[in-house]
Amino acid sequence: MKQLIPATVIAVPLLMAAQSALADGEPLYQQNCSACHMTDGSGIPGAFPALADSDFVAGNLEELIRIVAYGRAGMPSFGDELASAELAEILNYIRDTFNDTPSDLSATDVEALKVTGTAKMGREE
Amino acid sequence: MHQQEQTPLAGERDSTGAVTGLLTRRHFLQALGTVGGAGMLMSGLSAFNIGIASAQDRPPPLSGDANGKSVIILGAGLAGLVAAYELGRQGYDCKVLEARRYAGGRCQTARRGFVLPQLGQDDEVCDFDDGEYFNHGPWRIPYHHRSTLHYTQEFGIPLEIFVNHNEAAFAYRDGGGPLNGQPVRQKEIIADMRGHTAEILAKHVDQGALDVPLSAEEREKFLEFLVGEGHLERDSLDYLGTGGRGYASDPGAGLNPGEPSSPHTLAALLNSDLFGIVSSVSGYTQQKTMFQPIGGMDRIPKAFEERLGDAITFGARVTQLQHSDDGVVVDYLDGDSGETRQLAGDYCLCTIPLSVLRNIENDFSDEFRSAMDAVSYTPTCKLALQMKTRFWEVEDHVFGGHSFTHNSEVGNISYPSTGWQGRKGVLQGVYNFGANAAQFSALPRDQRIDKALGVGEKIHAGYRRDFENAFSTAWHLVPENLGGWASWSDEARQHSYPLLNEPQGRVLLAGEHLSYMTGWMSGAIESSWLQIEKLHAMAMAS
Repeated sequence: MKQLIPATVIAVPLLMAAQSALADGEPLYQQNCSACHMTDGSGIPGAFPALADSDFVAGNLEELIRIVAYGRAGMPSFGDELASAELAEILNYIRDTFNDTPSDLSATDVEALKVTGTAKMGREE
Repeated sequence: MHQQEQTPLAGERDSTGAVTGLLTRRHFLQALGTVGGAGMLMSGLSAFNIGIASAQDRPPPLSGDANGKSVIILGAGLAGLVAAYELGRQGYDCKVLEARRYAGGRCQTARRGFVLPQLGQDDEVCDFDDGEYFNHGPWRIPYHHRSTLHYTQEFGIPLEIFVNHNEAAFAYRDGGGPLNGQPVRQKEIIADMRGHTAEILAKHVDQGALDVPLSAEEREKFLEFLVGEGHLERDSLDYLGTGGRGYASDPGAGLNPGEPSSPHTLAALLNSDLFGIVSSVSGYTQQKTMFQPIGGMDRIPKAFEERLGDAITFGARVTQLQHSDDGVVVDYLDGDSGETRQLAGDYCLCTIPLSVLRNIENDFSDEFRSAMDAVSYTPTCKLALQMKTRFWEVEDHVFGGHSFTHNSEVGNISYPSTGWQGRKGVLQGVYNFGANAAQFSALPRDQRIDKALGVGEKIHAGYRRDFENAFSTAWHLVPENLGGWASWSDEARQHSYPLLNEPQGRVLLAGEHLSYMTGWMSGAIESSWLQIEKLHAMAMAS
């Protein structure tokens, strides 16, 4: 599906991201992630993993991008619905604020890993 | 879920969240053959029930006596209930462990006093008036979901029509187009888009300007089709409107012939982006006729429950699942005593959603566990609104169906297909998916309600005025589900899904997640049918 989005549509969030850098990470996190992972990234034991003090979040960037973009282990895929720049900002935010491991992910880094189809969010016909 | 808002490309989601474009058996099997060779192809064939003609119509015929062999069934959702009922009839000793205090899994109905715990939120308590109810899980049975209809028929559960299409309902879109910012009856959009399209096409055909080879006879028949399809004037081939789009003033008695309405221009429809609600035929799962059980969807699990007697242990949360060559051992936390108990059996059918099962200690193979982790689950919210009048019927003459809001934060508005002309009613004011649902569930409850009312009041004057109370559900936050339904990527379907359909020793999984009808009751039922047939074959062979 992503391949069908015209380049002009993607270009806008990319430009916006370049200007705002980390600034939107927190509101984007609170908006999209906090219902499950909690506002402070503490998660809910047995259901939603903690993102704070997490070896996974502080670890391999490619794995991190993949799980957010494609979904996995019950986690929904956000790759089709959020702009790559937004995903990058969210990941930078949870690494820096919850794990003291700053990173400088950009939309380009996320795009580079978006090569396969994400999970289908709809019910099947 | 709803009618299609627009016709997306194959593999995309329509406005309902349903994936369009059918994956054909042939494509699937070709893909399997390519990836896994003949062995994979064979198991794929069995997974697709080829050669088992009954698998979508009625349960598999199980021949041979089970001799009291025991089966532990995890989960009393539809898959678990079906297995317990069918295997029980075959002489198996079935014990069902269910975490909740009631059967049905996601197949629930909210009535006054119903409580739904959701993680990170206050318990949601239903405060509807007596007699009002809402199906916050599955709510519709397509006519071709024969496996679901098999049980409603077998148990004598009375059905009523679920109105999934109502051209008198509205389409609304914010924006700068001439028809934006106001509710427009769907029938106006449908009649005018098809009328204008037919007119353009008919005139081209008539003038021989269409670059399609048609014989003279074919041309006449095609014109006849276009005149009928678009309600065109027979001689001029103009589209001037049609009674079907509604009247400016309805025809009446005596000397009142009514006043015809005038069509919207093609430019107005295009510039208002309302044409997306028109499509030649709705998606397979969205077509007429649809049903719902009279009185609530939970009539289905209740009918199973009545027949299963004390086979179900409620309030039992599974904490560990172990299997060996000889049998299966399940540890669970007993809700009444708070103690951990253990249950041993010859076989296990596990219907716990993969999103939850992955957090339960088990001794599945690494490969199997990794396959379980390949699935994601769709976040989805529904919010029901009890209204003190049925203003949509009384003031707006909308009886059932959906109004398309073009607002993905909230989703479409759905009107009840029951209680016609009653005093009050419960609307479905929110049904959203994916990131929209994740965002919606992060809002405080009063803001969720306000958002729903804010969309609805643009369509119905009575919407905010007559609101009384709400019931809010976020399925990704329900601890026994952690998601609305399984979502498979093509990659995961190819590499992980087939393995999960195979036994792990004496354990088999089942549920909507192991079907190509994810999120539908028939997916759960047919997966259960398939897996109990495998379980029975294993039991007969041992």
